[in-house]
Amino acid sequence: MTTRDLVLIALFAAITAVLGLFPALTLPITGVPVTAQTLGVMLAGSILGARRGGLALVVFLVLVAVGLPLLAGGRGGAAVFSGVTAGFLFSWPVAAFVIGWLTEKAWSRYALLHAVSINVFGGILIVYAGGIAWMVAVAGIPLDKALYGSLPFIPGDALKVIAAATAAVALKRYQQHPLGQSA
Amino acid sequence: MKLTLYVRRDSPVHALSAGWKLGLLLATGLLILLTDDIRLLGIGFTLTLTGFLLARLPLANILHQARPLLIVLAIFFAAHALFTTVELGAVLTLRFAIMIACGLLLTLTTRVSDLMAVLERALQPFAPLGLDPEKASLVFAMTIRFIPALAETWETVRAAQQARGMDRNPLALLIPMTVLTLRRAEQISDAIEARGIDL
Repeated sequence: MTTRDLVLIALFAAITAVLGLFPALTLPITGVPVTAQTLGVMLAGSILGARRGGLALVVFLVLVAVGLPLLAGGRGGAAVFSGVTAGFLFSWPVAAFVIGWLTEKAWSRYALLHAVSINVFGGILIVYAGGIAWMVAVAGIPLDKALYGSLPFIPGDALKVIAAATAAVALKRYQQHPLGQSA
Repeated sequence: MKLTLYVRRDSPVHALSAGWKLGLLLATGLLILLTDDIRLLGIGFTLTLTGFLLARLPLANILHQARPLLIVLAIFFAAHALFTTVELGAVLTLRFAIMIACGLLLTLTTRVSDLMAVLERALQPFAPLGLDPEKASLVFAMTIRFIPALAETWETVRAAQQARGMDRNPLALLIPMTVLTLRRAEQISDAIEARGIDL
């Protein structure tokens, strides 16, 4: 890992934290509050690639665990990792890694369609699979209830996918994307 | 912006070392999985609450952190009472409540720097595997420093786009924000290397 890699990991961990500072935005149609933080997961994977993206989210979660109030609403500490919804948090580094890995694979033909499908897979499917598996296995909630409970958050996640994908593709087009630089 | 949840008090819970508290938290996590007895779990929960009394923490700080978790737990218990049995719901809810309370107690009574020191020591054995504890703690420190800096950058970008009437478009904020962040990464790594710090 070069100095630049370490700095990028720290910066994207910090971006995820900053996204948690925004008040949860309420969707006009459904009225479900959506936080911006999984956007950090998608951006880290789509922009930094697998290793750096995954590590950025590991760094973020470690800082939350030692007690920095970095989750949306100013929450943090060891307590949030033992709650009913902790599986969503644990899935973040995995999701960022997978998004990054797929982005690297698709790099030579990476365009909006790839970016959107990769972020839907990593940023929605993997995150919900982790969150719901935890609810079912650790908290004993029936699968169908866990699924229905998570549905209202899908529209907000779809918006975040579009935002992250557009940003990543724009960076590639303007030749600012770290994956396009040989260093 | 307050970047810590620690509440300073003169109490035996605060005085206990960070390593001990972390060890106790892990031990509690394992112990509560060994029993399904609701009375034993009840005793465990009462003991945890005693810890809060000993630590003399302000109720407002506890509630601010605990409220969202308590709401989820209440829904969780209600779901179990409806779809499985009240007993199973009570046992699972108590287990979660104990872990959440212990985690909260650790966080509110222990300095971030003390926990980071424990973490750095815990990472030492992994050094032969290629994980450099020194690099790791540098990344943690940089992240903490970058959070207020990036929040400021975000505000600058937002003001600039507001002047153009574009601040309602999330992409008009996100793209300049990521470009500025990537540029800043170059400047910072150049600055680190120019000072001869070998990472």
